[in-house]
Amino acid sequence: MTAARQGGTPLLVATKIVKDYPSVKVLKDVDVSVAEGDTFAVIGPNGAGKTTLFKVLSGEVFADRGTVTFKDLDVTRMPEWKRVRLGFGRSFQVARVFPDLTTDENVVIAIEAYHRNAGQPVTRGLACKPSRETRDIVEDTLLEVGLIDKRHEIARLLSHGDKKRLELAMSLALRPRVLMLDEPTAGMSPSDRRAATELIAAIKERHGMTIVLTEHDMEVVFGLASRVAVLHQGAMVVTGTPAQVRDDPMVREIYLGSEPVHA
Amino acid sequence: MTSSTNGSTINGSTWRRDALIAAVALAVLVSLPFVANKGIVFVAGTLALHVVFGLSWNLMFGQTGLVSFGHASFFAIGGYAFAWTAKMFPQLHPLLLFAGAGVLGALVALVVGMIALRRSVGVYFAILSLALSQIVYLLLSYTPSLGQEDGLTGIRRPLLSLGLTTIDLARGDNYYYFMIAMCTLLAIGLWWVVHGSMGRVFKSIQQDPERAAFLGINVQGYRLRSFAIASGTTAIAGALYGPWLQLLTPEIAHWTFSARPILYTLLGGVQSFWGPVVGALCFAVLEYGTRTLHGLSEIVVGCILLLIVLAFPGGLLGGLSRLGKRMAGKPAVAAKPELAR
Ligand SMILES: Nc1ncnc2c1ncn2[C@@H]1O[C@H](COP(=O)(O)OP(=O)(O)O)[C@@H](O)[C@H]1O
Ligand SMILES: [Mg+2]
Repeated sequence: MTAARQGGTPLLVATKIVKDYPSVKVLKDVDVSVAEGDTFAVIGPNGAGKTTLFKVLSGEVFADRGTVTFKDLDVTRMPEWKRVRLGFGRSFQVARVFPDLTTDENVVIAIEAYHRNAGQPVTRGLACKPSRETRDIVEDTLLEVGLIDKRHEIARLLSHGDKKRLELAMSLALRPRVLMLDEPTAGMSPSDRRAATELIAAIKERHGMTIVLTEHDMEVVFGLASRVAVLHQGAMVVTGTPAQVRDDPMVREIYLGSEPVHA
Repeated sequence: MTSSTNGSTINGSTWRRDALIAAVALAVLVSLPFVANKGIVFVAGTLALHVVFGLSWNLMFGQTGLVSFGHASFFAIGGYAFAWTAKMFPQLHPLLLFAGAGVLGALVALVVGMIALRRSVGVYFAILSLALSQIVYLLLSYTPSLGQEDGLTGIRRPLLSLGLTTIDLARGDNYYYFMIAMCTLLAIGLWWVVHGSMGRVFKSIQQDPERAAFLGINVQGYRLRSFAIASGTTAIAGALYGPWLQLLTPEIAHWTFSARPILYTLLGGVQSFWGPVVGALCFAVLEYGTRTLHGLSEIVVGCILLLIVLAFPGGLLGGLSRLGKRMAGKPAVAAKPELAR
């Protein structure tokens, strides 16, 4: 059922991924091919296995069978921190930040991790303070995600949406080749959701990285994605452009309901 | 508890405050031999070692979230390593021997850590560290060249040649001052680690190791680092202990001694760098104050400690900072020490 690819070299490719948990078979021979520059959305009903696929792609869990390659490198058994050093950045479905640290401390840690991973000096000499350069990047990044006013707040006390923004800032600090966002607008009000969608579009525009996201909200998906894949009960049923997926009769039946979808 | 009590180095204000506290503490310690009796000077010197012992334990717990139940084994390894090498190789410079004891402690931690930290489960590390301390205790108790249960006696305070001049550490209060100087350097080193970029990595691991890994941080590697640094530092404190007491017994590897830094930290406060210092001071004062209550001393000390821990779940400093916030009219945030994951 997979629609033919048009252009773009494959960046992140998963082949015949199988992942079982003791009680459930979650992923059944899933194939994914994300091309450089894509905004690739994985959609599907709750429990379809989207988050599990994310975990397999990012290295949080390993697949039972199948392979994951990134830039033609086999990363199937590579731990997550090494994948990050190759250019992975990800967020979690429920935003995870360092709760007792302030917003800017969270971002400092991410920026310093990036510099350290790239083999660059992190602080000047014996200094404890983050370098001038790091502090400048913190400012830029917090401006970009709209958290500059909350830079000194304890992350635990941020609103749900702001935690998601902070997580995004931390991922951006890593300057990833592929940015993976698990339900970036989940649990948000419609207006926050629109703001988040615009933010992601702006980030894509500015940095041009490849984005892989899962999403519930069709408006968000069709507003952002250049390609859409539909996961249903652990199997990939359709992959194609948003228009192809929207018009696919099978997709309408299993996921979108029989109503026509409005983009 | 805000992070500004612990390692918020972004505003850079903490170091001035901390330098002031340290200067006052040092002034008291340095003037003590002039104003106090020998008994109190002995308590103060021992306290300095215990402060380093507590601070280094909290480098693991407060920073990376590792719970060690066997920290005393490194104190003992350092103590015995120094005493034994000083006896066997008296021609070697004592500073070299102290450094060697630290390196040995760090190396043992690296080897043990490579096994104990492979699993990310905190309990696994805690149990293995306890097992290590039992092994060290038994080894010391049964090794004839280390004096078995009688330990090593007659450990001498060495001559310290510093190029231009030589100081006889056996004379007067020289060894006391030497210990204070060494402990100060070790504490400054720990402060630097906690407040610098490595400390930020440690803190992120303590907060959420999985999140840290998704920033490209090698969590096991950094846990290993914090374990090795803490153990090496403690081994140097242990090395200083032998000539101070001029006697070492396997008791310093016993698990009850491993409980000390845990107690200091919980008593003073996990969240603050100074927590273990306050805890150790409190403990030393209580012990000294109750030393004449034969047989009752332990019970009295135990009850007072219990009361403090119950009254201040975030430790004394946690209680103070909450009190300060309440006085300043800000809402109090409940203390919630994070346990290892
Ligand atoms: N750690 C786990 N252990 C057992 N079952 C799990 C685990 N994680 C997910 N599952 C199961 O796998 C299925 C897919 O979950 P998930 O990947 O979270 O779906 P989605 O993100 O599409 O909602 C669900 O049935 C869920 O209950
Ligand atoms: Mg999910």
